[in-house]
Order: sequence, then C-alpha cells, then structure tokens
Amino acid sequence: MKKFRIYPIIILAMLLIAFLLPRFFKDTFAKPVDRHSIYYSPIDESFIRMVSKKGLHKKQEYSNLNGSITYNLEKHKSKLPFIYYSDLLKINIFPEKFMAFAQNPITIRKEKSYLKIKPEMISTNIVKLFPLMESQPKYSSLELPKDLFRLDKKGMTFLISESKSIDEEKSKLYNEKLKEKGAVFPLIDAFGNPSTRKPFDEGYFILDSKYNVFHIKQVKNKASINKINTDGIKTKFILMKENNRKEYYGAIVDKDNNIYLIMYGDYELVKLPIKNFNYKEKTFRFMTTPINRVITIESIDKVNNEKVIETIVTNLDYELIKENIYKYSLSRGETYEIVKSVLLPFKISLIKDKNGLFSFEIRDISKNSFIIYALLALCLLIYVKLSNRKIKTHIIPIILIASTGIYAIIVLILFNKLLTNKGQK
Amino acid sequence: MISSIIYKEFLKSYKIVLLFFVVIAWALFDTYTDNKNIMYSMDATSAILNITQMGRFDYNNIKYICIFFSIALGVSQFYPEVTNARIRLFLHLPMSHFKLITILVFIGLFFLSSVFIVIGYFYSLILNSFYPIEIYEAIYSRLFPLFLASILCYITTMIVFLEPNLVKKIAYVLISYFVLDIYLILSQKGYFVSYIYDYTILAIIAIYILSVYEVFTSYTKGYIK
Repeated sequence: MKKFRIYPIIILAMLLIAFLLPRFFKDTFAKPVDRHSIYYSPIDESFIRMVSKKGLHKKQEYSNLNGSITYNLEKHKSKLPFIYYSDLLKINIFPEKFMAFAQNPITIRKEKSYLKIKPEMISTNIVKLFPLMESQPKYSSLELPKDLFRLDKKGMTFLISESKSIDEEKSKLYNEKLKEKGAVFPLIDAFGNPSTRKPFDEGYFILDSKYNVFHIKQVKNKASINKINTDGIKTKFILMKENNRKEYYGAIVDKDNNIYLIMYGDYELVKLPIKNFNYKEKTFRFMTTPINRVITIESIDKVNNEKVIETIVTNLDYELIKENIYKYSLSRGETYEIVKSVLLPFKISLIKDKNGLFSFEIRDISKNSFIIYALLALCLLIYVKLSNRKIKTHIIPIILIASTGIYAIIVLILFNKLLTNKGQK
Repeated sequence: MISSIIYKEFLKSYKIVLLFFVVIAWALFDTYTDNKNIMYSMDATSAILNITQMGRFDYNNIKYICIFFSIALGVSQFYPEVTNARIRLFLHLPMSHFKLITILVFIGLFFLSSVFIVIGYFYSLILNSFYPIEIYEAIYSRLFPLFLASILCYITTMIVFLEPNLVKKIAYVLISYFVLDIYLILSQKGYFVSYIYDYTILAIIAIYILSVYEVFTSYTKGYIK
C-alpha cells in the first residue's frame, strides 16, 4: 500500500498537464481562426459574408456566401442599407430600392432593435435580490427604489435596503394581488432589467412553481400585475429588453428549446420559426429592420470542429422567408493539427455544464496518439524485461504511459518513477 | 505525549499566529470601514446592486492575508525542524510514524481552521450589519475558496521543507501553483460557481496530505542524515 501513496499526486499532475500542455501547444503552434459573419442583404435578397482575418495581417473580406464574388467595403455596406444607413446617406449611395427610407432615416433607427441570448445568461447563478422601480417616475429619469424584493415560499418579500427590515405592507399587497391572479407559491424566478440606463421601465416577469408567468410593475406606487397566457409553455428563461419600438417586451426561452416573443398589448406569444435550438449550447441573436426580422443562431459542432451559423429571415409577421446554414472550419492550421494528433492523446477542457457550473471534459481523443503511446509502452516493457528490472514495479508507469502518453512521461520523469534503478523501491 | 507535541508546535507558531491576528483584525476593520463608507456615499440599493450585479466587492486584503498566513505558519513550523534536523528526533518518539505525522499535519490545519473560523465569523458580522443574508451567502461563496486555497498553500509549504529532492520539491510547488491558479480564477467567476471545485480542491488537499506521508519516508528510509 505504501508504495502506491505517490500515485495520487502523479495522477493529479498528469491531469493538470493534460489541461495545461494542450494550451501551451495551441499558443505555440495554432493559427488564429478567422471569424465569419453572415448577413442577409435585402437588396439582392441573398446572404452575404464578412470574414475577419486574424493574425498579424488583420483585414476584412466581403463576399457572397460561397466567396466566389468579392466586394469592397462600400459595396458591402450598400448591400446592408438598414445597418449602414448613416454611412450610405452621408456618401449618397443609399440603394434606389429603398429610397423611400432615405427621406426619413429616423424610421430606420426607430425600427432597429436587437436581442441576444447566450447560454451563460441562462445558466449563470445570480444573487436573487431585485429592484422594482417606479415605472412612471415623477421626473424624467428612472430611479432605483429604496427596497429590493426576494422570492420565497411566501411569495414576494420586499426588504428595505437600508434597514434590512421587511416591508410587510408592500409584500402583502403584492402577494395578495399575485394570488388573485392565480400565482402558485413558491415563486421561482424573476426576470427584468435592473438598470436605470434604459428608456423606460417595464418591471419584471415572475415565474411561479406551476410555470405561470406574471408581468409585474409598480405604477404610481401601485402594483400592476398581469398574468400571461403561456398555454402550457414550461418557461426556462425570459429576456426583458425595454425598447422604444414597444413591439415586444422580450423573449421567452422554454425547456423544449423554443423561443417566443412577448408582444405588447395582450401579451400574445409569437413563436419564432427556429429549429434545433439548444439554449445550453447555442447563442441566439434577433435583429429587426423596417422590412424584416433576422434571427441568427450560432453554435460549435465539436465533432467536426466547425462553427455553425444558422440565419433565418422572416417577414414582419414572423413568417419564414429564407433560411441558411453556414459552416466553417475551426481548424487551427496543419502544423498544430499534426502535433496535436501525434503528441496529445486527449486534452482536458473547461466547459460550463447544464447547471451553469464549470466542469472538466475530455476532448479531442486522438487514436493515432494512443497507438503511438501503446507501442512506446510495449517497447518500455521489453526494455524493462531485457535490462533485468522488476516488471512488477514498472507495470503502473507502463499502464499510465499507454493510457495518457506524454502527460504520464513528463510526470514520471519529474517524480523519478519512469525507470527505477535496480534495488530502488 | 500528544499534548507535548501540540505544546511544542504551539511554541513554534504562536508568535506568527498572534502577528497575523493583528493583521487580520486590521483587514477586517478595513473591510468594515470600506463598507460603511460605501453605505454613506451611495444609497443602500445601489450599494447592494453594485455587489449583486457588478460583482464589486474587495476581498483582496483577506485573500492575500490568508495565503501569506498559511505560508508563514508552514515556515514557522517546519523551517526549524529541517535546519536543526529535529525532524529525525521527532520521528523517534515512542509512537507510530503514522500517528506522529498525522498529529503534525492536523495541528497546523487546526491552527489554520481556527483563524479562518474567526475571520468567517467577523466577516459575517460585518456583512450582516450592512447587507441582507443573500449578499453574505454570495460573498462567502467567494471567500470559502480562499480558505481552501490557503490550506493547500500550507501543506505545500510543509512539503517544500520536508521533501529532500529538489526536482520533486519544484514539482509539488508547480502543481499546487497551477491548481490554485485555475481554482481561484474559476471560483471568483460570478457567485455560487465554485461548489463543485470546492470538493475537487478538498480531494487535492487529501492527495497532498497523502504525499506528506510519502515525503516522510525519505527520513525513515535514511536518505536524509
């Protein structure tokens, strides 16, 4: 038993090197990966591409989707009139097709809005104390309230920030109103935008334990609570974004990976025409222009080492017009790939798991490397036998080399356990 | 016998413990006045949201003090043992080596834990006097990893003094450094993110404690004269 005491630290060191060495190799041999962006051009009603070249000679390349026709910057901008309208108007090349908008560029600006939902926004744990602002303040700017609310089995509890005492009256008022609207306690989560740097305040969306969603606001010191007809949707996350357009409050992501916009007025939920979305892994972007809506879903295909960009264009009624799936390789150059596949049997990477916690994952398992190290281990075994050393004392190092390759070799050398001398224990 | 060993270790380290108690008291007072000033200079809701939304809370004084304290405690306990070769005498006490080494390791851990309990207690008093319980829980989820990191630093210091082989000594320090580097970066990324890592670091501390027994074999095998 005593002679095995050293192996836990050896295994720990191996795991650490399996985490650090691939990073060192990446920094030394890997080429930076170019970044591709896909846009929808309403001018020729097709998708266009921008490639941001990384490395010492950084530059942008603009082209059609497959790269067969390249554009200069001016041409690229002219194909995206609702993104670069101010530049196009300044140099008088706003496209004829949408000249009506050129007369009144404020319309374009007013119609622009943007939503982004990243996996970490959903999975990150936050401190659950929320400020419910006065939505119709006396003065022009929004102000933070003197209290914060928490959610618990009693419903909403308002804490006075300075004294930390509970505002029983206010808590009772909101909880009674929530019960009236059919809320089932305990309340699970609150989704809002706790910042005063926004054009106006729309309060919070509150999720109860039966997946009911309530819109809660403080209007002139009174509670305004409305139940949203979610029709059985199991809400996972709500992104609230106050925007002057006042078309939608934000977006709901449900547990079945659907995304709905919560519309102003009667809180109608509009399901977006997306397929194969996964809130744990994919990033969702949504952009409005005066003539269409563009949805972009980005993810990484780990098996093929590719970035996948899915672009969906809808009309103003959220009906699908066009969609495209674009993939590009995330390969970091031939040298790096060869070195990686020969020397590194696997690598340990950090990932965020489904609960938002960081965890380690074994990735990039290389068959070539395993074969090389298995042969090396076999050679070592033969050498041990030929040099009349005890096989019994070398069997664990040999197994470690066969299973973890270079990581084991480095650590066994450091701890003087690769080849023990005759008589050494 | 055990009480004599505890007394011997106490005599070696009480000055360092007292010195750090003064430094820790100053750091806690500094944390108290900082938070008091924040509560005076901005309204309470903004102060709370600064911590919950922006993650603005200064742990640095406590972070470095905990790590320095653990290293200083390790040095005060093991430097005299090694320089005067007293460790060989210690191992000749009429007790099993396993018991002797266990007592040695756990006396240091007891000193460290006592100091961390005091820090944790006063920290909770300070935070609870200004903020709701949620803030204390959030900040403690970042403070606790610092305590665990300090324990690993202490055991690494112990191994540095006891391990006779220079290459192994460097290997232990590097492993500890990289583990702590990754652990401290991850545990400070937002709130409540580190519990899975706390268990991992506890397992690593256990591995290091096991290595202490391994390191002592250098003495028992007579490699060190």
